[in-house]
Amino acid sequence: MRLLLPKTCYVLLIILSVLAAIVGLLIGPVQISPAVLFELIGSDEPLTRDQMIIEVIRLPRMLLSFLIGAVLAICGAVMQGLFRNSLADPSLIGVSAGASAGASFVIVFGSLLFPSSVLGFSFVSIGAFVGGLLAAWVVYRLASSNEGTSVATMLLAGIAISALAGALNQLFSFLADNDMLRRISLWQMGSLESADWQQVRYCIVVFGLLMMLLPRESRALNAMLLGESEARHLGIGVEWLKRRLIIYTSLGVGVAVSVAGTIAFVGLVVPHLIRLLIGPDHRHLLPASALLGGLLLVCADAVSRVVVAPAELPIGVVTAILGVPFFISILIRQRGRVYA
Amino acid sequence: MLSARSASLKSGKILRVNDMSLTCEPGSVTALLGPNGAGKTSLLKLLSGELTADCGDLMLNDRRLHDWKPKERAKMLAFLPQQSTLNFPFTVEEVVSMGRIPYDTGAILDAQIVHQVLDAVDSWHLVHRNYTELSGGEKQRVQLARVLAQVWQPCEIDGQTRNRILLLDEPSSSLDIAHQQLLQNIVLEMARHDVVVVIVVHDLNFAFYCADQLVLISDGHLVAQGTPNQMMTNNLLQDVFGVKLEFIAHPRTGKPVVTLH
Repeated sequence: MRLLLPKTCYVLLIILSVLAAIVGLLIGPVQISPAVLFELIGSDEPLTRDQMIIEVIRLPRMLLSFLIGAVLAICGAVMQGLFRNSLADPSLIGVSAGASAGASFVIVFGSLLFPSSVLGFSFVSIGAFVGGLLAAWVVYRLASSNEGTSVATMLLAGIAISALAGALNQLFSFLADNDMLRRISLWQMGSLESADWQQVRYCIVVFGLLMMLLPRESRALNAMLLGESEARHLGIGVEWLKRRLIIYTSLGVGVAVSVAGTIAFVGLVVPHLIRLLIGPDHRHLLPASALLGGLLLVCADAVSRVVVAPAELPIGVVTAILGVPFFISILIRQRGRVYA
Repeated sequence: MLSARSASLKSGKILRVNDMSLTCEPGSVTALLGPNGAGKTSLLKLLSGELTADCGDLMLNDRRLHDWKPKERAKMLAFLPQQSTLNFPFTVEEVVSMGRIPYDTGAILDAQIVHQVLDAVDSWHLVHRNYTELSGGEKQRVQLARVLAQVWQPCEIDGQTRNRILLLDEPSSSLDIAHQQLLQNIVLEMARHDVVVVIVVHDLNFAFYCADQLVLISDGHLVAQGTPNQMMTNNLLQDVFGVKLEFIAHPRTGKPVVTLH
């Protein structure tokens, strides 16, 4: 049984997202009254302290969490379609781990090569993107043969690549000095602390690109769930489809990782919930996952700012606390189905 | 028309299909018979274009099978595999609608066709059910409906009407006796509408009842092909399967009925 019609689900998610956004803007170490929000809209007067907090700190941060949540969720949904397994996650084919190793590499060797320059976010992000794409490409080369791409081999190769990337990460940490080490570990826990408008613009471009490209593949992804050979018989160029999807998702995950570090489980939990609500049809699953992913991360970010205020919990910790029990419950249910 | 000319297929060192030639005419039903592992499914996969022959030619409607664009081929040829691996909770309606993916005929016509094919396989009552919760036989009927939806209407490419092909790999393996009969009627009905039907089947009576052409395969070789009457009179079926068979005339239709000796 489907719990909601797709349209109802969209409306509900949009309303909840707006509510979450407003609440997210107002709460934090400094509580701000809702009146400030209205004053901010359309006023030309010099900004008050509260308005500054919203415009410079909280608004970009809120937008960034929404965009990253949306990108991670939609990439998770696409990967699950590609692997025909609802447990697939960007971290599974080694993209997150590869991106993480790429970023560590840049943090350590970048500052060794250019000790005086302050390495900005863009350098680290390029490292993460290249690392993610490299991991996805190697996994893909390992798994593909003349007869097509084997999903099982691909998952196993993903595990191997994750292990390799993890080892590289440790090596880089070993080589790093104290300051680098702190940045690497902060970065790996995931943080939206340093959100600024430039990152928001960067993420809007990537998010827009993905939202243009991925929904076009919805019907093909539906057919992929029937099976690769079935999809081929329905006239879908499966080999090119897989290549495109791998590039799109490593782009999305690489960017998300480079901006906010590894935020696990969003890509797993969100598409799962949406499938429960409106079913697995990708024409609705992809946009609805993007909305719920954004909503979830905005909420998680608000929680991370409030629970130990004035300090902050890394957002990756919050999503893991939400995600791990969820993941285990799916595992147990799938195991039950296999042995039943 | 669908044909193979001296087609061979190797997988590793094993010769799955050895120099087979076969022609399937529009409006005819071809049944592929043979023991387990003889190469029936391999031949069917060659004919469907899923596997590529190591040598020899596969022709579909006067053109090489692989010269057709994937989307054009999907409009002419539908293939029902032995097993389905779908484990996402689509509704039956959504699964059958996927048979319309090659087309841009619009939601209204697609919905009508989905209704018609589900009626044809006696599964309209399942339309809103979750596919993953169906029984094996019900799943098989729904998958059959999906491939029927793919070739339900006459096919036109570049302004020319083209023959449609329906390839079925053991479509009756999970069906109860009433639905086996229903399947026989669907096969004959599709053939009556000039569809080329090729079917892999273990039930000899199913084959003798429906098929115009029987193809006997053993160990990667095409041992014999002919009409049911020709196959009845030679002893090749018995030799290949290693059993004694008895043919009796059906008391009403006069068609051959096979029993074990």
